[in-house]
Amino acid sequence: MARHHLINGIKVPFTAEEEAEWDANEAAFAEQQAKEVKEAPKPYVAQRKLAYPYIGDQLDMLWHAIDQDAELKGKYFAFHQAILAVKSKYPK
Amino acid sequence: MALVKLNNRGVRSVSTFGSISSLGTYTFIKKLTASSSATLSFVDGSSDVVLDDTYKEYLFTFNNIHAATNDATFKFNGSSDTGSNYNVTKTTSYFDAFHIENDSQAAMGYRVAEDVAQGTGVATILRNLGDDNDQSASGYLHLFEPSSTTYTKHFIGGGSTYGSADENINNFMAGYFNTTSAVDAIQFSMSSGNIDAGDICLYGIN
Repeated sequence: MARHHLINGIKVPFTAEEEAEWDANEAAFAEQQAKEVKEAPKPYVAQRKLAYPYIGDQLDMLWHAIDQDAELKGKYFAFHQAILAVKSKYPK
Repeated sequence: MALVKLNNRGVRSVSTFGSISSLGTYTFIKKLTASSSATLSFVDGSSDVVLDDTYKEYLFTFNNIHAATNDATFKFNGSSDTGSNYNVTKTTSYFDAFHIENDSQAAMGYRVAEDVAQGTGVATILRNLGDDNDQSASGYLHLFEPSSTTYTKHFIGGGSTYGSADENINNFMAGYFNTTSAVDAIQFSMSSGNIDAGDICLYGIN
């Protein structure tokens, strides 16, 4: 079916060039859609994203794990000390 | 000045109300109804359409836009030559939240596929419409001072999509036409296929 523009309420038929351009665009869209169906997103990605603790909480858990292990404290010295400095400055 | 308590009896006894002046105006300009239309365009200067310095802000409302093609995205572009070409340079940003009907997923995020960086192509307002008979999208686009020859032209759009994955999508987009030429026409279209049905209304705000 011939396409048209609706300009200020007036129907204006597509030119042959516009028809060809839109045919090509629709073919490309259909091809892309077919590809996306093949590569459907895995539901667990979004489910995990929503379920993970906040990044700040994750980092805090990491710091406490390091703080309880002398070897890790040495290995991640700069990270441990930077957080420790803030904790010391603003104690509970 | 005496404090007057207004109650039902007081209102009933009033014989004259004072007038309220200097309020802004919100003026309906034009409604276009899609009917398997590839594009819907509002062009300044004909068929009662104004898109010039008559108003400092314009509002387009989209009522139940129905896509002919499943998963197509509702987009727009601007023109600086009264609709001869829709290719005004623009930069936009876009993010959304979505929630699937079966409650299996809900998330929000920035969508790099929907934004534009100094491009002349169309910009997304409402993404991934479903094409079932009961699926559509409704929303709005504010366009600020399109006639300005000093500033770029800002716009803010968004709305609610009944998406192709049977989800609600809460769309948020904004941007600016990066030109100091007047923008005097706006065109709406889908990323693929026609706008099967739906209304777009244009209002002027002063």
